[in-house]
Amino acid sequence: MTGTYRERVFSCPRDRTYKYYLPKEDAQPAWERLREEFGAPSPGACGVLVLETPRLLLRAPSWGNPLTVIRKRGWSEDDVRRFHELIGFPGDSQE
Amino acid sequence: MWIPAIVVGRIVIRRAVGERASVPQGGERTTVPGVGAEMTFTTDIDSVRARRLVAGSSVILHCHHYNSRLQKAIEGTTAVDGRGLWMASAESSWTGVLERAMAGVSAPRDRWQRCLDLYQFLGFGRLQVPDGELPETQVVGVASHFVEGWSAREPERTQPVCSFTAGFLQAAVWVALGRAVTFEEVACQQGRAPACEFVLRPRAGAAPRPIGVVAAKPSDAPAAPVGPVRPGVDEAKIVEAVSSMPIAGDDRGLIPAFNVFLASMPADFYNHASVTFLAAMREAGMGALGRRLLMQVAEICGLNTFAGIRSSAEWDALIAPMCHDPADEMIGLVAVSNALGWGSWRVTDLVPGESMRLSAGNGYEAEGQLELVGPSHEPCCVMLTGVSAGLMDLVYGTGSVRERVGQFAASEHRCRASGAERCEFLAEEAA
Repeated sequence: MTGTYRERVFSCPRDRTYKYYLPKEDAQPAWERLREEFGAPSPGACGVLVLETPRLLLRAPSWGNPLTVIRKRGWSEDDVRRFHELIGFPGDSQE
Repeated sequence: MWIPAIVVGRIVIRRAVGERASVPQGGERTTVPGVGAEMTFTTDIDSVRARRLVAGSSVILHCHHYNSRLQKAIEGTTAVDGRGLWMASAESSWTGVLERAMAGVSAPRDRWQRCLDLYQFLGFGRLQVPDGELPETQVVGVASHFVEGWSAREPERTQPVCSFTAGFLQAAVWVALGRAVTFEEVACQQGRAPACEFVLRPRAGAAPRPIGVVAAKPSDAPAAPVGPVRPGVDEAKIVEAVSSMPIAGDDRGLIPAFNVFLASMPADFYNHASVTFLAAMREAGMGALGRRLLMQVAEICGLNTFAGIRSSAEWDALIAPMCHDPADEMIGLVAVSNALGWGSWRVTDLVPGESMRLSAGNGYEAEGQLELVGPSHEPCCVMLTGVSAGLMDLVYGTGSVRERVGQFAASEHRCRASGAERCEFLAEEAA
């Protein structure tokens, strides 16, 4: 697998949490687009990068990959679609 | 002598979207929005003995999967009064914990508020009095650790699930206000109610009585011996990093971390619940079944909790880069568990895919048995035994998480509560 793909995180307390794996060369540009859209991420515990958007919570190691996306209360398909556009994820059949 | 090796201060912070999170260190004070009292709790961590201490009591980190499954195992056992045992353990352990937390707090209003703040800080949810400052008729829960656990596993269930909270409230009213009361949950978020409602009633029976001294003085038992060294896995770094995580209830009183909801449970509660449940089961002629039940709950906990940990961003950031094979992952997972307050334990032998031996110097179950009951004629560390199997299921099992349950079996063949120097566990492929 060479492009961005994702895996469902089943043990997460929030429904439909996915971990996105980006090609190494795509991670930094994707984070730059996320930063432009949502602002700068904050450093969390254990070296985790945290970016909180109005309806998504993005978490990743400091090198930005893989990227865990937790859907907050009130999330919509539009939020997820926009996130996919920003990281260049074409979608899959998992939803 | 109790010497905190690391002191981590953590205050609940409400932050708006876009604000940067901040983590006060060293017991700073701040006002908890919506609660109106100052949260001054800190978590003292003894990294040598792998213990966590809050407001004078030893606390154990477990997740919503484990706590709700443990509740179901004990309350759902109809051969004994499981529900009564569960609530009695909650009430009596909280009575001791809250009494220790009241040092220097004398006004009833302040004592009551401190009880609610501690409950929130430890991650059990957030409680409010809707009709005044002090509880006269009812208390409302706006979030609940136990509801999160039950709704994740049995979303269709509609019966109330917050008996642990009712036990807490009975203890809190006694400790803060000197009134012996009972609480009944008449509406629960598990049943789709907007909030959990607990109705207060006068109590005819005896007042709550505290239990537990385990909490106040963790033993000087030796740490577990050093196990096989995996060159790439820096266990000390993992323990220190996880111990330093700011683990405290958020503005809803929940602790989302490692892809699960954590709670800092008083060690006295687990020990009292386990000891009294197993005693009742033995009396009913079902002691072995009781042990198997508790071990299975812990095995499933080992699978779910550590599956959550292994798929978390914290794992990706801190531990995954150290791991090159499943054996490394196992050492990393056990290192994480040494930051959870369970006591110090280590892998002493690991045959990949086949078996694992672990040794615990001061597991909380053995200490609880010795403090609450005295020496035992049989090993008593059912949680650590079950988790040993769950870790092997997770790392070396096959199939989905659910399918891995039971692929490995574990036993405790030496226990400190039975006179051994350490507790020792063997997990191997199930027959």
